Amino acid sequence: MGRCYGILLKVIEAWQAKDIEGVLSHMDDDIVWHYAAAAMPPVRGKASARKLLNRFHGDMHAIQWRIFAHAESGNRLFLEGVDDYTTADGKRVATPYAGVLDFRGDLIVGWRDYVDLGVAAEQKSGTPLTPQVEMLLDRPVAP
Amino acid sequence: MSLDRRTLITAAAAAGALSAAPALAKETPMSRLFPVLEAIIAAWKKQDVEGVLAQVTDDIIWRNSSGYAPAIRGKDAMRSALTNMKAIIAPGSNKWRIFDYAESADRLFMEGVDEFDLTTGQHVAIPYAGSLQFRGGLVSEWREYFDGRISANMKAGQPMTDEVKAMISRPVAR
Repeated sequence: MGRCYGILLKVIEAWQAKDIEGVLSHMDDDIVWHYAAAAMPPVRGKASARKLLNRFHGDMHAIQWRIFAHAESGNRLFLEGVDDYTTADGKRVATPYAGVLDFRGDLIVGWRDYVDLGVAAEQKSGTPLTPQVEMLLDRPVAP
Repeated sequence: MSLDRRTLITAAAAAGALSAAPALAKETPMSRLFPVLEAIIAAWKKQDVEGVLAQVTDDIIWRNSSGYAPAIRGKDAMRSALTNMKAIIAPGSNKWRIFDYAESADRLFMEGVDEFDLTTGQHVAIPYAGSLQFRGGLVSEWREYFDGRISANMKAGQPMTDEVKAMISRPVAR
């Protein structure tokens, strides 16, 4: 397992436990977090990241965030995965995505997740997962 | 590369957006898979459909959206899709480029932008990340992730957003 991927697994573990400070402990103070790259402005700095995580915290339940594939080059981690959770009103949201994380030392300083927010919006409105989404999710989790 | 992507522009960046990122991680000199992608990009910039297809397996699965459209399956279907794309992209306008990448045994991960002009004049730039899976030196599965509304908006003539400008104003990988 690569060094950077090992750190991401700790982030995932913390988030599944809804441990916001645990997630933040792996972020650099200067983090630039594109949680929906190119679609939304990034969140800048750990204080803003905390606010975003607090916002997510209230609407994400039964979190099944998982990674299907990854590779590292120097201080950069590439991955494919899915954000899979249940909203507060019981809707399942499962958005396949690709992400790129930049590390400074052991801390994440750049985070870019490429995802289709239109797919998420449909799911939040109650539309069932489409066959093409199901196929993207039907993959073994990366070790 | 996707049905919606390919382009032009040199957006001068809402600079800071990526400024916290450390210097680009350089690929190893043993890079095996990236040259295949470079060959595909070179072919597509010339709108050479067969040149692109020469780099993929007969049973290619091309998932060119983040889950909003079904996959394109097989070389014949990919040929049709590329031919349709070619018809709406202004020749010479393609500025598809990759900002960074990493390789594992049989997979290439990349971050880049599809940037092009439509023959009807609209400028389209779609930042994306994705992965290529290889079999025997050819691409057997291709997955791309991006927000489809970005391409839809730009095809409808909307200007490039500051977020997109920031994402695509980065040095090209070597």
